[in-house]
Amino acid sequence: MINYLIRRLLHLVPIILGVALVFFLIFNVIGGQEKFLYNILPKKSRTVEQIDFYKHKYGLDRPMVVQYLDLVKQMVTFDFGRSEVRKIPVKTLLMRHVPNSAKLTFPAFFFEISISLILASLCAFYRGSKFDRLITVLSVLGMSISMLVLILLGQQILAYKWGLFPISGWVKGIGAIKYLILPWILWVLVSVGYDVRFFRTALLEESHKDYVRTAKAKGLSDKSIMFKHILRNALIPILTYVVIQIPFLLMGSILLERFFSIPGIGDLMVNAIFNYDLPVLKATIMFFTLFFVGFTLITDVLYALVDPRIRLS
Amino acid sequence: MSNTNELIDFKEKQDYYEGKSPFALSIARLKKNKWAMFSFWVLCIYVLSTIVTTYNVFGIHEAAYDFNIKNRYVPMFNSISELFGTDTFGRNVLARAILGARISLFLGLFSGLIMIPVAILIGSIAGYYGGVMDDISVYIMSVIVAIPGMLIIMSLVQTLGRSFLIIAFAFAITGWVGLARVIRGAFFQAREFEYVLAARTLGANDFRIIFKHILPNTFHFVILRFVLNFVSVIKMEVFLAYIGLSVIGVPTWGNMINESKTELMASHWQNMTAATLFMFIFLVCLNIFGDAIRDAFDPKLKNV
Amino acid sequence: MKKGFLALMLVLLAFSLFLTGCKQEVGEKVEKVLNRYVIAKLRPFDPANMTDEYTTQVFGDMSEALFSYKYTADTYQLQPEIAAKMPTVSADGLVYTIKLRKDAFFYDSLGEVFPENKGRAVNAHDFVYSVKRLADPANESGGWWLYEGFIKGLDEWAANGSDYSKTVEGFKALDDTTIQLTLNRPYPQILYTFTMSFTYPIAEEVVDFYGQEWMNYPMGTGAYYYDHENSIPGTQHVLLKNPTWHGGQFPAAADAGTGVKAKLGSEILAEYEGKELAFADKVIWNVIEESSVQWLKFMNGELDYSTIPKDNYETAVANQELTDDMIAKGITMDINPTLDVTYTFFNMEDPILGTNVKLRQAMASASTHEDILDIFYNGRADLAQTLLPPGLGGYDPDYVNPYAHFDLDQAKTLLAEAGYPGGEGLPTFEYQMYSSSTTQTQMVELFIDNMSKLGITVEAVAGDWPTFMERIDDHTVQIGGIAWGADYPDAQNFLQLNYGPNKAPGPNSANYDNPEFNALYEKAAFMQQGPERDKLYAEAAQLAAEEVPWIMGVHRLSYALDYSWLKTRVFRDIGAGYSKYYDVDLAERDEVLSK
Repeated sequence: MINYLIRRLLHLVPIILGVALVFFLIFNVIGGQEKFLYNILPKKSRTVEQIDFYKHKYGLDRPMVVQYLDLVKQMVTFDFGRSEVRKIPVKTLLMRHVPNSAKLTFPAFFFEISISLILASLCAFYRGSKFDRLITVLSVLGMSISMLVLILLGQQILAYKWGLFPISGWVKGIGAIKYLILPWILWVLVSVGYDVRFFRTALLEESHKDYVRTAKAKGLSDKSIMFKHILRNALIPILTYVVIQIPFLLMGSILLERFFSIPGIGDLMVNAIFNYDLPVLKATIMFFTLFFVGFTLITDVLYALVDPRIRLS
Repeated sequence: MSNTNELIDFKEKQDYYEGKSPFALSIARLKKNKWAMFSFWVLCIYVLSTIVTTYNVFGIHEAAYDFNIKNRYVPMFNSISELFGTDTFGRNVLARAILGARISLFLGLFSGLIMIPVAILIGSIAGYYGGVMDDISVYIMSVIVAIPGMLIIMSLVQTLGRSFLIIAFAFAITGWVGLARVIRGAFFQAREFEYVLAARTLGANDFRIIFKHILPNTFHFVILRFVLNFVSVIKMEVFLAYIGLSVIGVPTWGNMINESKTELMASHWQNMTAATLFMFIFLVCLNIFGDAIRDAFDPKLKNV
Repeated sequence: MKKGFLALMLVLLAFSLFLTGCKQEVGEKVEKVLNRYVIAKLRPFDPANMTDEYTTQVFGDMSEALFSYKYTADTYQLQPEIAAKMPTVSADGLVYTIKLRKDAFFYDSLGEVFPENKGRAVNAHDFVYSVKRLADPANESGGWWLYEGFIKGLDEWAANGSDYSKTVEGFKALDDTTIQLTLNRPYPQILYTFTMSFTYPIAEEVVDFYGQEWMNYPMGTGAYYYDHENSIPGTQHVLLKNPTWHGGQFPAAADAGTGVKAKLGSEILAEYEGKELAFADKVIWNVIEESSVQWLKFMNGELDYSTIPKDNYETAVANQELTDDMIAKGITMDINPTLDVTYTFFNMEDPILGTNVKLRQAMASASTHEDILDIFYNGRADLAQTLLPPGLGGYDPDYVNPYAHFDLDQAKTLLAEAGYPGGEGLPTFEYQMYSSSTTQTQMVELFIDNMSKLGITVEAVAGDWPTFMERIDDHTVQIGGIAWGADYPDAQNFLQLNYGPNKAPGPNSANYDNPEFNALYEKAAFMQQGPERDKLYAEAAQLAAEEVPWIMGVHRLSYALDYSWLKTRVFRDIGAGYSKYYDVDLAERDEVLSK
């Protein structure tokens, strides 16, 4: 077990090198660094000397290999310095924005999964019924709607015309909930469709298995089969599906954050891309990579714990 | 929509014994699904309209592109030819929505055409040969998955510029991994199948085994991915349009929805209605059709 | 199950109402709150880099410069702010002596740098420090170009290692309350630069105390201070009334310009005359990046005023009229000219565009100037005839530029004379874009459409701002369109855009270089104000306009909507720190909103 964990952690090293390479290819080779200079140069008047000065200052006149190694060093030590645009240490920025995104996405994700699980179990239980069909149709419709459209309509109609929710805003602490309700609802609306379909299939698949027939033959009630056996056994694919999405939650939702003035990390990321604020981008990517790899590892370990047939080797 | 009707199972068994190939069986199953066929024909209409509107029929290009400043914001449902009214430049919103389908289809097609060969190649090599080849492929895949896909797409479009090809390309770069994984898994299983072992002992070369014996088994994954890819690309295009990274100067659904953002305040619903309607119908049909393929080819298949 | 879902939504809804309810009950303190907004995230509060309008606006409420603009005058007239009075100038226009007031104190709400909150009085050394910071290359200042080459000894100081302990001959403190400014050559515009946020004084103690983080701790002498507790960077910046502010009064009714009189009405002016300033107790600067959200919030009464989102004038206010809904809410429209010019420039170093004046004139004539005005500005902007906007010395209201209105026949004739009848023989030109906002895209689409009617093919090249700037600096942009907004109210600020030695990477993006124009510019720009100088300005502007290095765009108008409860807002295009003049009638606000 310990060996396995160590080996898996060692895998992280080539992945970081690879992530750094992708980043380097996009921003240093294809372009970005030079463009970044033009973002900080005075817009109203520039001189050739200034351009050279900045090039030197940001190390863009060094050979590519050196620049790449520098990037790797930053990524490994997690020392990205300050945001070029906001002049705040990148760590502070992340610490400020990630919790806000989490406030938006984790409860939304929780609602999403709970609602979908309930709907999917009911669908699976009453499969073929009108209710099942209705939910199936609704989930296809939900999968086909665009978040942007939903936000525009939600803000225009629910928030402004009907005054059910505040239009946008944010406060520190618990009071932020009142600004989060509409975003949560929108989030659930666009994502429930996918989940319901997945959960329903997972549950149905389980219900085709032999042990269910045996249980039926034994005369157990449908309800107890559903909740005692099927749901428990279908938990593995469902858990995997859920856990693997968690790192993505930390990236927030760009659209929701921008429209509802939520100072989260998705919004930070978009601004960083547009301003070529490379330290912030590097840190965001690195942050995500670590979380992603970490959660994959947790999933694998959980798998092994739940299912003894899988050996950690 | 998985069908557990015993009768059909029985009939299928009959067909099977009559010597029909699994593929033909699946197609037959697909054809029986009314909704799927309906969606299929709707999708065909979209494709057809795309081909037709490449040529300037009914002056659709003028209607969609030419400025007619005297005729701004004609309300919806005023006349048949201007069913959805006109936009801020007096351009026909219906015509723009129809042309928008073209861009969406192009994006889906191009990204699919880039992504699928890559996924097949890497997935099959990794799954078939295993060992070092597999390690390398898995490594590449893990690196790409470890970077938020949205960030790669936005960065690439931002640094390389906004054009169809670049958006399609950026999308393909992040999109191939899922399919490649599935194919790799299928190959892992298939390697051990008797007929593959038999073919190998008979001296068939790797190329032949891969393409003749194993790959066809993954065919439905590819089709499904290809169909659902349109859904993701179209949604992504709307997002890119919103942050200003979509193709410039061309009617796309994303651009239209984005324009409608400010128009809604003055109750100009033309762009919003037309683009959303066209997009929504298209996506619903794609999703239904995708579901049907999944059910028809492998009722047990969960997710790609 | 649908019921279950609905029930859940209802629970959430009830919860939200409960929360809003709570807040209203608890926060029952009558506080005058002013709700303003910015449309972009703020940059750090570092005066040396305060290049964007939004950070300047917010910081301007907290800090003060030597001079400011009179609030109720129609034109931009200077008045002393931290300076005790207007400066004395030597006869040759080279030496300025500026006296400071003694009662402007830094205010430290956290009490970390100045434990008593009320800090020390701002002195001459603070200003010297600020100007040195502009010159110091380590600060990457975006405001250095204002002084580069003008102040005696400052360039040398920067070049020789920027040692803050050394005095600069041209900008020094004679004593705590006296600054002496010595110039290399006359630069009458320099007093305007002392209103700009670049020159806001910074207390060196703050920089020493917070180290690199100091720019997150804005501290000034202004009417408001930064509320660190309630501000959320990226969402809202909350400012509170500064109890130690030196004070000020609303200007006398007699001093108001005619435009301001028309806007506010003489009753309001009389009522407010001489009233002690800083009316609002609290100013909330909301950061709203989505124009649709800005609009919804304004219509909901959560913002006290709103400019009409630039994305699209027509859509915001249908048929250029206020809707019944708006009138019922007591909203009024306020339209004001701004000191700016939009233009489409040709690269004058391009072998075809740069050498063929008739070609450029043809292209300018084929532009549908009047339609652009209609579509993008709702018909309410002024078509630019030269680069000088109205309101500046040198602007000639009678002058008509023959190439600044749409005339397709003239364009075709000119194109034939240029040697390309019907556009034959011309290559495809590239139009470099800098953003893909709806407005820019639509403008470029219209330009391409116009040129195609002349037989000229133009292709849009997508790009973002850095790409655009980089290509301008490489002199590889063939055609591009931007705007210039005034830094200070003097024609020189605009004419420099056509001055030969200012070629890219300077501000002359067209790389226009005409010796005759250059000579006129050099002569006029550094003369003292007067009709003679204005005549030279006009001559230079018209000379450049007819050679068409630019297709003239418009001088934009600012459209704003005010709620009736916002009593004393006056539009000011330049300068900052105006929140203290805004008054809100709370009773009226409640009344309107309860309807």
